[in-house]
Amino acid sequence: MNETVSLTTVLLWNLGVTLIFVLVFNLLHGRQRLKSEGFNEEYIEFIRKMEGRTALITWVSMLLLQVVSFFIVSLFIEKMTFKLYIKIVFLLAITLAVIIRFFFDKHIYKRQKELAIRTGSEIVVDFNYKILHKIFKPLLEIIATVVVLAFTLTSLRNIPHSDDNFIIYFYLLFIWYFYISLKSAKNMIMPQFESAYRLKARFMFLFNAILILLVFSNSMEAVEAGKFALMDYIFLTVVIALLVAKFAVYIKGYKSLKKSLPERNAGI
Amino acid sequence: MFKIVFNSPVPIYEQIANEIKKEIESGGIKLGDPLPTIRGLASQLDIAVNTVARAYLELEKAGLIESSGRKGSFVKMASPVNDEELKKAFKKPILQLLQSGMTREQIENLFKESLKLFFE
Repeated sequence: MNETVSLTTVLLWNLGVTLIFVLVFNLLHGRQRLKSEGFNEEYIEFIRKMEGRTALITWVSMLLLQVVSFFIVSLFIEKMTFKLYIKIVFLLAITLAVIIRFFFDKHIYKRQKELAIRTGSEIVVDFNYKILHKIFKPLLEIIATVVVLAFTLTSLRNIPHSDDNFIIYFYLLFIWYFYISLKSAKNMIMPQFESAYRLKARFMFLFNAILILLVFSNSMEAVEAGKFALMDYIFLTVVIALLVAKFAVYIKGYKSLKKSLPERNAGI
Repeated sequence: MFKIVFNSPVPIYEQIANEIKKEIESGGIKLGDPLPTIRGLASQLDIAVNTVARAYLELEKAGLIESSGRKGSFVKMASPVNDEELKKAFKKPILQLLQSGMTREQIENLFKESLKLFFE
């Protein structure tokens, strides 16, 4: 974690991430896959073009920001460690990616509306966000978020690498990001709606699972360091119970999401 | 969930009103359930606020919803049900009462007593 990171290493990492990204992008937005999901040619072209453009702009901006912040940080400190790189550069880059995504989403919704008008497509609307709330129960999420934050700020405050806990907040933010991006989605036709909901629900499971592991692993570190008091154990039990409950809600919600979508799809 | 076609010959406000009516009839939205706010639904559908307001006004005129100022709009009328649906709904509780050992007369009396709660 304390190894020095050079600009070449940063660029090589980015190249690696790009290759993975291109692979995932093609997997998710491949022509055949989109066709099997029920999209017509016009929509396939649109999705590939818009998503490709957004991904390219995000990637270029992230890379530029990483290089710029790398130089700025290097001016103030002697060596750029891996930990610092992750904290400052990577965090900034991801924040920027989210902002760009939001900006592009607005643009995409506008274009989607134009396409829907041109093709006479049916727009689907999640009335009262009922389907979204099958996978994401805001009340439980709010309680879990508050408790996890309180736990990391109190019980995990004194562990040897407590400053690494920021990554926990990061995962929490991702789950909320998926929720907000689904809630603000507009002008989607049925295959888009279905695929967006399923994909983001899967990511919500994944991030929640990682969150449980992170909280558990950090707590174990604190236990080993002898920094855990009885109250901390009680707090940990509550946090894990809440996250597991959230996980169970996701699984139950995803099952009902899978059931409800084809039924509604058939009527369209 | 409902569907809207932007360039349909049916006006959008009418499509919204019809979709909400369908939701009420199918039981998707129940008596007393809140409807999305006019602004919220307009933003979700990416259309003008006035269009949603007009749809809500049509539903209010039809007696399906009621608007109570800042509290928002709520479903006013229960979804219409036919005789067959009612018979189906009664079947399960009657079977349970029979299984618990009650006679026809006792069930009829119980039903009458329950009705009194609403009509007396």
